[in-house]
Amino acid sequence: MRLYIFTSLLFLFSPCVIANNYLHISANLTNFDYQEYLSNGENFNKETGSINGLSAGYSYIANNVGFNLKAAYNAGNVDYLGKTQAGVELNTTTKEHFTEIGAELIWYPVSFNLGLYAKFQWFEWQRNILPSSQSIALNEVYKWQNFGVGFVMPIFQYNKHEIELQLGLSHSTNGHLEVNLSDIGFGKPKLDLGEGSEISTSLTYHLKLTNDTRLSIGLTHRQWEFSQSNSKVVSSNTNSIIIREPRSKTKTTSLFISYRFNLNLFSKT
Amino acid sequence: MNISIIKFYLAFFITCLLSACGGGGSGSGDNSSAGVTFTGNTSPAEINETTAKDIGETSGEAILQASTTSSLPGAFETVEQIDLMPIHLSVIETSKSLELLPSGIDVSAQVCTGGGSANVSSPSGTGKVVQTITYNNCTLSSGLSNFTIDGTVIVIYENISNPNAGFSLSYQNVTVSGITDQVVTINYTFTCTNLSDTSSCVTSSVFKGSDGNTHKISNFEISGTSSFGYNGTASFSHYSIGTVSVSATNLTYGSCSGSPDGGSISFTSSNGSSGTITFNSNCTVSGTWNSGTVSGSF
Repeated sequence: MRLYIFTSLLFLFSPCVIANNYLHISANLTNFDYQEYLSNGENFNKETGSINGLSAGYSYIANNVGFNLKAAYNAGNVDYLGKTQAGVELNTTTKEHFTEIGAELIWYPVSFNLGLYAKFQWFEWQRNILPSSQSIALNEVYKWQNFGVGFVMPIFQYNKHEIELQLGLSHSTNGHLEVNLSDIGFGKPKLDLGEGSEISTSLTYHLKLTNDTRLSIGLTHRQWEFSQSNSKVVSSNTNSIIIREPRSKTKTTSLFISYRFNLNLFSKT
Repeated sequence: MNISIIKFYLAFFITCLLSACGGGGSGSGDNSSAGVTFTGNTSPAEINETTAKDIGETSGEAILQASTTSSLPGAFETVEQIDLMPIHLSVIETSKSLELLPSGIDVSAQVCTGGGSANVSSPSGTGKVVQTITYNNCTLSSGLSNFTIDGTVIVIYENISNPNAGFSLSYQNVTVSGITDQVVTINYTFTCTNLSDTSSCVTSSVFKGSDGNTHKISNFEISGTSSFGYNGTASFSHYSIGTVSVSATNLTYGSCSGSPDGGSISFTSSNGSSGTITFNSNCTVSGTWNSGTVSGSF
């Protein structure tokens, strides 16, 4: 088995293999929908709005195997609807910053009509709930990792036109949350996010501009959940409380446009 | 252009993108006042030309110390406020039963009925007595519950011979297990004005001010937010000047570190002297004082 993997890698990266190197740049308009639930099932708070962003990636494709790297950043102000810790209705704004870094290995077992992939992703989400007339500011930083699998397949192809479907499932692991309570003397407690999972799907239209360039427009929907975190005692100079992060569900729907060009184009000139 | 140069620039571009996206998160540390004990002046403050500004400025810092979680948005769940009264009662009980023992004695058998050890340092005498109890994973019983306590508690009796005099418990990084399903770290001072009446007890916050001295705020009822203003009353003890009652009006914070950048405080001493201070957005202050016989402004 080890010999097979070694031989495959040697073949994949050997100079005689016909390989293509691509660079992708992309912009997206993303609708963000986040909701937290108390342990009794009641809604705790909800954040909705637009967090638009940019991403860049690199792809290496040789024969029937490919490798993708991607970095993405989304940010925006969204509406917060919930309550203060004292139970007073609260309507304010949250400034969101999402950073995502991912690596993906894709394999086309028979032809380019079906690709199977496995991926690793690292996420950081900075959630800054802005102060209002009823509340002070609260900053939280979430970090987690995803391991996922899925497939991509063209469902329509004609001349320079192609429509591609992607579907994937991920398991979230090693999730942490830091709550900044320094301003009220409780420090920055860290909580462990509960078990998480993600489902993602996308439908993308590709237009082949030249042999080395491609323009894509697509729609992506992602949905992930985290179960309730552990609870933790935090103490200030005047008080001791137990806190935890509630169960949450996040949905994002993105409209994106992407441009891909073959880096081998430069070596030809 | 050579393909290797392209790959180099590509790697450089992605590295820059990744490093640019990974920022954020300011780095203010935890509150460093944990475990500080107030040993300053608790007598009524003399408010006059030389003390008014100091009292006003430090009381402005004190109000922020007394803010609570109630104004935080619900982005995490407060599962429960921990009731520490059983711990206070057990410590008081321990302290009372040990007050006649010689200093430095091992009191494990009398106190730690469930295991562990404890040591008490209690100078003999009358009047004000400072007693230090050191618990080492000592398991105490309080009614039907047992809990284990580890750390040092300083008990101060204002007048150990008078059952109606005040006392305080000062916890310094004391950990308690068994009162919830997790370990609780206690770092504050619990003060009672009447030894025989626990309803007279209040929690106070002892903190190190920007002047480097240790001050205390207690008996506070503060509401509001740092952006839109805190309002309320408290008792404030300046390390060297003494104690005043303060009333805060629309105190805002954010532009002047731990000091207010707006609003005002009026402060009065039980000796009849009083003063006011107004905090400005450029971090300057102005105010008035009245010593009872002379008045002025700063």
